[in-house]
Amino acid sequence: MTDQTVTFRVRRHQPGQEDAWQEYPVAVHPGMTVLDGLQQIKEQQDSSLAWRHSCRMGICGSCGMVINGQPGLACNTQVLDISDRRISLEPLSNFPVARDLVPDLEPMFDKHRSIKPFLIAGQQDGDEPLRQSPRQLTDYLQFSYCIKCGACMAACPTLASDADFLGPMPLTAAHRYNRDSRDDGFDQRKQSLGDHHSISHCHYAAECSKVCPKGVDPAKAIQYLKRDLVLDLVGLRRRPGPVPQGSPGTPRDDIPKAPEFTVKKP
Amino acid sequence: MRETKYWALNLLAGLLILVLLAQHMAVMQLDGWLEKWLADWIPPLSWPGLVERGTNLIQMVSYVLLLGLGLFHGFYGLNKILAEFIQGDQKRRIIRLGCTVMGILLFVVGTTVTVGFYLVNG
Ligand code: SF4
Ligand code: FES
Repeated sequence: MTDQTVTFRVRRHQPGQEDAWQEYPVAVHPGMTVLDGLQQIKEQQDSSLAWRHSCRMGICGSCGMVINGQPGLACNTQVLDISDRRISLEPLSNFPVARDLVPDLEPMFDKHRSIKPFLIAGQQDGDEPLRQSPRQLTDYLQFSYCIKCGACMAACPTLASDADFLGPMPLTAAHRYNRDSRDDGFDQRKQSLGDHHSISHCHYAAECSKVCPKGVDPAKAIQYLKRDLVLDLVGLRRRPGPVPQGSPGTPRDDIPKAPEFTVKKP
Repeated sequence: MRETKYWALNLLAGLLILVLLAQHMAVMQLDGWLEKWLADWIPPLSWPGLVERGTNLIQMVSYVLLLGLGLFHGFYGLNKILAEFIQGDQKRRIIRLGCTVMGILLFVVGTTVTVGFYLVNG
């Protein structure tokens, strides 16, 4: 297949100036991603164009942007999968913009921090390892795939009208930890979850789940959170524990042993 | 956490409204059908029918309940919808206060009529 030309329409933003659209013709070939296209523009046409990326393989979550009106990852979107010969690129909506396609993700991470996104230990014995059965893992596994790209936040209509709304990513993270059998932090998290700008404000547009590049389904997590908060209110919430007791199991013998430490521990 | 309580109450109110509204609709709309089954049936839109309902304790309580739940459900929803269009916690608080005052006022008026009718004619 020969190269085709696709027009990249980029919304440029410079602090203190009006936003302006700028067009770049890009020769594309099969297998080329939107991120590759941007790289090509930077190398061959306009070195001042700014965006954020790191892993180039849908893992770090830093290349989130609005591609033809839909939030997504630039490194995860094949140019030729987009039927349009013009691709419009904008910074993620619902975020302040630092420059061009670079959103300021700080507000999202502030909200993320506020729901205590870490395991809060409960009544386990001191140094005992926190064991978990495969069944308990499946309770939250899907929600742990989140790479904090912010696409769901950009797609959320509630966040568009209420900047203080926690948003799908932090709420999903809260559910991920609430459902973890090793966690005992529900009571600490429920203060911010029960706030006016939190789950009761979500009216289930489910746009977040539609755009999530990792299949996390934040809308589902929020519905589970709603259920858990109501059940907790009437004293019927089921704790995700208890930690399984007994033998940790026999390790499979077809798994190679870990290499020896090259620097011996004293 | 207070918000969770209001929200859960809103859900509960929705469910109870369904039950109470079904009862109200049955009394008011199924009159032709009820006539066949009830010996002492009185047409619901007639004055004696109204007096009969208004002086019945269960009916009076169910109407006051329906009024209270309906007002709470409606104004809670209205407050949430308006909050979507308004930025700033201060303005949102004013909207919330406005909805609460309106709800209480309408409840007081409605309850005065319903309970008053029951006490005077009962
Ligand atoms: S839930 Fe999905 S869309 Fe939202 S931040 Fe996580 S990976 Fe991105
Ligand atoms: S560059 Fe890491 S997700 Fe796109």
